[in-house]
This record gives sequence, structure tokens and C-alpha cells, in this order.
Amino acid sequence: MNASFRPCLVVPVFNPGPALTRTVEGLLSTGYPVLLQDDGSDAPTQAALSDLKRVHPELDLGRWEVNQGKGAAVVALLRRAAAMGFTHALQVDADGQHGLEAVPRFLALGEANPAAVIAGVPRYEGTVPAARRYGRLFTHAWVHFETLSFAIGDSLCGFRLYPLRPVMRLLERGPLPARMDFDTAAIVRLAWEGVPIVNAPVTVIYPEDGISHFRMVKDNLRLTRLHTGLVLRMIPGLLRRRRARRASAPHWSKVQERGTTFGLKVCLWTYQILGVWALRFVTEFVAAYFFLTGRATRKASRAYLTRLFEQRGPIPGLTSRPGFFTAYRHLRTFAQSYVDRFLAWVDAGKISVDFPDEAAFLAQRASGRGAIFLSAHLGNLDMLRGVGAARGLKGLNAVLDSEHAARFLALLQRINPDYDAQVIHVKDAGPDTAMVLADHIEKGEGLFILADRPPSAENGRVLRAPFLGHEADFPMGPWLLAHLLQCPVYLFFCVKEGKRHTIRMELFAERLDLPRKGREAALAGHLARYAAALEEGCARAPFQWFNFYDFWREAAPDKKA
Amino acid sequence: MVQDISPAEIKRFIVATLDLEDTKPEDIGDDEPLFADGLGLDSIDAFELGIALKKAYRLDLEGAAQASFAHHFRTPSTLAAFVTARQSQPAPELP
Repeated sequence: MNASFRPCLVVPVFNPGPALTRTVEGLLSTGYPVLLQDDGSDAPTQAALSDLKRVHPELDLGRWEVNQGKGAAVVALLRRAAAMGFTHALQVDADGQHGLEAVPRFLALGEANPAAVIAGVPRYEGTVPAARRYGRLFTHAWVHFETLSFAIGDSLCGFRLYPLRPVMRLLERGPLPARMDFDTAAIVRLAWEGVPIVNAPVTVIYPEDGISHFRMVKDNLRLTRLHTGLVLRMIPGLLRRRRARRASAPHWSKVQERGTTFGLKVCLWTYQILGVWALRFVTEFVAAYFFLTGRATRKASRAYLTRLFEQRGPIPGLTSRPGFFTAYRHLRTFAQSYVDRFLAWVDAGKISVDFPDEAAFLAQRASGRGAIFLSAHLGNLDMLRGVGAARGLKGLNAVLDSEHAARFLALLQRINPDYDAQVIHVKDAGPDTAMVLADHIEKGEGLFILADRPPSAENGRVLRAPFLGHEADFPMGPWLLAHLLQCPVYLFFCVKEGKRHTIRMELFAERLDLPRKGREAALAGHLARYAAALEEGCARAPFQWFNFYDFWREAAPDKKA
Repeated sequence: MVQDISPAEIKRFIVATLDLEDTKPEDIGDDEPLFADGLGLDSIDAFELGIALKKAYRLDLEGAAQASFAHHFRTPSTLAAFVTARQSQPAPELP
């Protein structure tokens, strides 16, 4: 046996029934070290384990009082195995369902493929309970979609040889699910990391005396949730929550980048092979997931819709006071807008855009004068790219405040490099930002700025202005930019109306003057006009307001004021 | 013909651009931090100053790393060196 292959056998134990002793003794007879983790089992199981330990003192037995789930137990075992210097761990269920004659075969495969996961594919003997059969069918379909391959023969089988190094790397970046969904999540994510999967058959018997802890409803629901989550990871741009969690882990940006590129490719293939309906279908799950799990998101949506309703009364689409499920419609619209954005990039011809002021827009662009187009997180600015591409327009720059949105667009651009449009990522309103933006205007280009969200940096000075009847923060930078560069300012919104998109453009001012004396007052006037236009836009497209945070939060203390 | 920009010129430019009524250019130290603890300019001031400098001296930003700007804008001295290196038009007339 060479030094780079030191395997052990690991067994999570939770009330497995009388097969336990037979299984563990069978494993010990192979001559490999055996590690057990008792996941809060009952007294008879504890007694059986104590007996085993007494007869086989070499047995490594861990235990915790409270049941934490199979995934948690396996993770604890894998960590312990790595700490003890093992390179590989073969996971075996304690309930006697796995044919142990496979142990030496799996270890030989592992030694021949030390970088790979050797994944058991069940060969059933006897009958399979119906709950499991359906759960399996469901899961396999999803896993094949998630990994875009049939490389993983069986993602549920708990008989599996893990190479410990990639597993530890995966665990460093974030937790894996603690329960029955662990087996699937672990192998899918290892596959994403590029860990090869080698499938090998293992006999599975559902023994008479075996006790399964797979629960028909609860665990199938858990699996549904898992796959929604995994599919989500494939779809870029929507991962605010997860992104925040991952941000603290090392190399997250690199991981995210790879994951996101992969996800976009998946979208592209899905689109090319199945068509846009498939994207929309998957997106429904995404929306449902966000609705069900995003409490803060639901709250923000409801706050906005309530204020809109109070301000404007019944409007098309929002005919009564918003209830719990109105937020679902809102989130759905948001999720589906990503499909439109995606289409705008990869297949602009499929997007129908009405642009009544197109002539004025083209004339402005042809004038060679730099201009600022003030927009908002209302509707979908990407639709402009359809117009831009059709007309061969150059020098259209989207100014984005979030790194995440900027990356999404940069990736779309990588998929379709035909467009000339630029993405400018703005972290804060510092001198660097100012100079870069000024440079584009001086070159006669157009800057599309979302002027409804203050920069994320804490030191960005903001302005309060009433929006939907309550004061909210707006950024100062776009206005100052227009003043200092003395360029024309337009309002520019693109919302979806039915199946078509409509761009509304309006000249806001040929130039803005904001002298330092009386600047706040002058700005307040401009901002009020902008906020009013925003309100009009919201009333026309109530569900296309894509700010899912506490928009009216209390003003941050201003050092200068 | 472009020439070296002195920290004194930068200080005059800052006071004039940002309309700092209570501050005279000579009150600012060449190596005094412009932001926060020093002169106390905030990010919007920096934003305005950046654009004003760019316009006045036609600064060429080609190849300038955005990450280095925080350093260049630290004090009148560092800013003078930056403008000197990047200018492509002579100093403007200051009031």
C-alpha cells in the first residue's frame, strides 16, 4: 500500500437496528480501520456499540447525545479521518443494506484513481420501498441536470469512497446539508469542483431487520429543497444571500466566478437545446425558493407595494392592498426579468422593444456629446442592448454599483462579445470613480446610471427625498457629475408591458447648475422631479421595482450636516 | 508647455474648487491628509475634486490603476505629483 493511499471505513450510526453488530464486524474483518459516529442513538444501539468497542478496542467510536443528522455525522467522520492522517474514507451505512463484498473492490478502485470519488450505484436485491423509488428517480433527473452529465450514476447511495483532500477543501468554504440530502449535495458539489466520479456497483439489500430513516414526505421535501438550492447555485445573479455567506470564506470570488460561468453556460445550453420555456420553468422554482426562504425580501417587497398602493390607490396589477402573496408575484417578476436580460444578450432578436423616442436618442448619440441617462432599478436596462446592437451604437456604458451585477454583465459579455457596451463598476463616489466617469463623458459616450441606490460605501453622502410619500436616500454622485461636466441629462426607463418592452426617454435638463452655495436646495428640486418620474414608472409597472431592501431606512448620520 | 505642479498650486485649486471659505491655501500643510482626520474633505468633495482636476488639467488616465487613486489623493504633495505626471494641458487661471 503506498503512502498516498491510506483508506479507512466510516460509518454513521443512528438506530440502525440489529444489523449494526453484523455490519461493523464485517467491516472490521476487512482489516481496515473503522470509524463510527453515533448520531444520538437510543439505549439498545448504545449498548450494542459498547459491546463492539469492548470486543474490538481498535474501533474508533465517536458519539453525541442529540441526533444531528446523517450528513453531520458523515462530516464529523470525514474530518476525524483527515485529522488522523487518512487520505480516503469509504462511507458505509450501518443498517446492513450494503453488500460488504464491495469494500475491497472500492478500495482498489480508489487506489487506482486517488483523485476520484468512487460512487456506489445500487444493484437492488429484493424490493425497494416506493417512497425511495420515487425520491431516487426525482433526484437522478435533477442531478443529471445540475451537473449537465450522466457522470454521477447514483447521487443518493451512501456507499461511497471519498478522497479527503477535496472534501476538506469543500467544507472549508461552507457547510454541507446535515441530513439525508448530504449524499447528493456532496457529490454534486465535488463534481462541480472538477473531482472525477467513478461509478461502481454495490449490492443493496433492504434487510428484514433493517430500519430506514428515510421519511417519505419530509425527506422528499428536503430533497426538493436541496435541488432548488443546487439549481439556484447554477443561476447567476440571484444569489445575494448565499453570496453574503460565502464572502467570508477564502477564495470565494474565484469559486463564485467559476460557478457563475458554469451556471451561465448551463443557461445557454438549456436555452439552445430546450428553448426559453425551460429557462422560465426553472426560474419559477427560483422565485418560489426566494419567496419561501427570503423573509427580509418578502418584507421589503410588501413595504414597497403597500406604499405604492397607499400613494396611488388601485392601479392595474395592484388593484387591492397587497397581501402575503403579492410579494410572490413581485419576486416572480424579478426572477423572470433575468431570463429577459439573458435573452437580450444572447439573442437580442427575440426581444421586442418599443422605443417611441428612438429618433431623439439616436440623434443625441450622433451629436458626439456625452450624456447622462438616469435610470433606476425599475425594469430592465439591458433591453437597450437590443436597440444598441441593431443600430451598431457604440459608447453605451452601464454604471453599476454592485460588484455582483457588474460581474453578471461581464460574464454575459464573455458569452456574447459582439456588443460594445461597457460595464463600469462603481464601488463608491471617490475621485477614481469621478475621473473614470468624466473620461467617458468627455469622449462623448453615454452613461446609464441607476440613480435610485446610494453607493454601498458608508462614506457616500446621500440626499433625502420623498418617494411614495416617505423620505428615502438617493445618491448625490450622478447629479454632481452632470453639473461638473455640463452635459445633458435624460431620464431613461425600460419596463416590460405584456410581452414587449417599452423604453421611455425624456430630456431632464440640457445642463444642471449646482453652485456650491445653495446646492442642497437646487439638488432637492431636481431630485423631487426624478423621484416623481420614478413614481410614475412604478405606477405603470408596479412589480418591476427591483429594490428588495429597506428602501426607506433611516438616514445614516451625516458627518458634515 | 506643461510644467511641474506644486503642492501650493494644488492647495489653491482645492480651496477654489471646493469653495472652502474658512480655509486659506497656506493653512493646509503639503503633507496634511486631505480627507477625514486632516482637512476633513468627504467622498463627495473627492468626487468633485477629481472631476475638476481632470477637466482643468485634462488628465490622461490611460493605464492608471484605479486602486492607486486613494494614494494619489492623500495629501497636496501626492496629488501634485499625480497631476504633474498625468496632465496634458497647462495650469488653468485660478481666481
